[in-house]
Amino acid sequence: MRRILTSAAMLTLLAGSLLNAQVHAELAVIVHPSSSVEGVTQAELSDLYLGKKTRLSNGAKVQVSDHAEGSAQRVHFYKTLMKKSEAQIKRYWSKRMFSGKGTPPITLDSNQAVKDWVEVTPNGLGYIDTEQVDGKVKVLLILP
Amino acid sequence: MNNRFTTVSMGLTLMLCASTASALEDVRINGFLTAAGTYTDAQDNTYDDGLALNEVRFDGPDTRVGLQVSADVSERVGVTVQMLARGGFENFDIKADWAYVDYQFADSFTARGGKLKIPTFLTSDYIEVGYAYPWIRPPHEVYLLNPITSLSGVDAMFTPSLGSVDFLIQPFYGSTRDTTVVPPQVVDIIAPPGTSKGDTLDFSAKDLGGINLSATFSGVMTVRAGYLQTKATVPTNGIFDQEGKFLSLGATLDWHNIVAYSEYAKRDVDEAPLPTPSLAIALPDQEAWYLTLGYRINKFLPHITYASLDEGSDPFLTVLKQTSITAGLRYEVANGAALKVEAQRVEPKTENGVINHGLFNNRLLEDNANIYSIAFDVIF
Repeated sequence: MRRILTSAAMLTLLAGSLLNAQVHAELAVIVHPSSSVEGVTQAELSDLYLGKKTRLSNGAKVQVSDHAEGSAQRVHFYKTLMKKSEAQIKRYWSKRMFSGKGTPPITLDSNQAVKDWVEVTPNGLGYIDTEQVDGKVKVLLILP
Repeated sequence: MNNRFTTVSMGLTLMLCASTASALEDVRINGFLTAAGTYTDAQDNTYDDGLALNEVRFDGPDTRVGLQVSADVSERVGVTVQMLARGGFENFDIKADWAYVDYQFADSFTARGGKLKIPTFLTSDYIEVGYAYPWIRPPHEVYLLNPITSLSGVDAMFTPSLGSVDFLIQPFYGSTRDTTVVPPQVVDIIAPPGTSKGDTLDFSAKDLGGINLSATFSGVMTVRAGYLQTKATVPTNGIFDQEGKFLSLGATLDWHNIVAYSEYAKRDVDEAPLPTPSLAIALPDQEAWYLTLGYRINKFLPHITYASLDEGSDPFLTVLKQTSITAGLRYEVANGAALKVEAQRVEPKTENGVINHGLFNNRLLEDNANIYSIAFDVIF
């Protein structure tokens, strides 16, 4: 009985930590609460973050924000969305930025900084860990 | 000189406009730097306008620094200035490499006016940014075919997408003034009076127009084609409005760990009827190509390049002929910094008894010679 209990407890712990890891890895793509945009596809999001598009499907111009280089959120975002490493993204922008084909998104230091910025930027778009989301921002997409 | 002054003052004016017209938060400053050392074992010789000497040099043309200031004046209007200082015969004189205003009509249509780089080859418009490509420098056998790297004029960039294919249609038109080094082969064969090796020459080009077409598939493979033509004038040599044409094709692949680049280029220059001096003496018809293959292993990218420079459709005695094999290694020091080493074996091609010294300043004593280079590239 004790053995079963222990195993159950361990399983619960394991499941809990797995679930926790899962939750921690999820990112929410957020905009200003007043935005009329209802959602964004992964393809649209890729285009926005690679500077190929500056507008959402409803025609609204958006400014995207990024996390600092080396941050867990940034690494996860580009890996999940485009299967690209940070180095690939860096090379991509080094070609475009110095040939007048676009500028990389602004970078902000933390989840809180991104959320604060989106709250005061009507055309701003960013991504943060899902557990940081509250009613002051609107979620367009959850990235696994 | 006058031209350099104009571009610099144009650049400064644009910068000034940028800083007064908009809030400071919209001004972006970025830069790039390459510190390079080169050496050739060719005795008492130099390679490629001083790119490498028979002694170690760190102040050659590979060493350069660039600073870019760009600003959004309004939602659709932006200005960009890129100042560049380079070693070698440019002597680190600061010049405006880019200085333009752009207007974004739509996400997929931007027009620009001012001083612009000409997209003759795959990496032409970011050629100064060493960090952006695997080599220390793109293969010169191909890239030297067009000595005109920038224009004062206009271009337009149409960037439609179809599924996962991104297209670029970029027509351009303008004129330019620049300085180039007299090809050593010309001094050897023609021996123009009062000209010695290493001398520079001012030239201008007008009615400079062309197009750059490219398609990128899933962000992995790009194929491109480019064409440009112009009328060149070299006043000191009595050359006026003689026509030159460039055709270039290229492809590049960055797929999983495989990196590949290949380009072909062809230069055709009209020969003027005698006794008019011909532009084709200094810039004879040539054809060139290269193939680079690399394989990424974590932070290392070993790569190998074969390049060939040969005569074109209507060869002249001053044509440059050589082949080269380059083995290189790029190492990612950090995100935004790369260390590179290369060894290049160059073999000038002597045919039909005509001795060719390729890009070397003088005839080689052996069949071939080596160029060794090391470079540190950063962007910031």
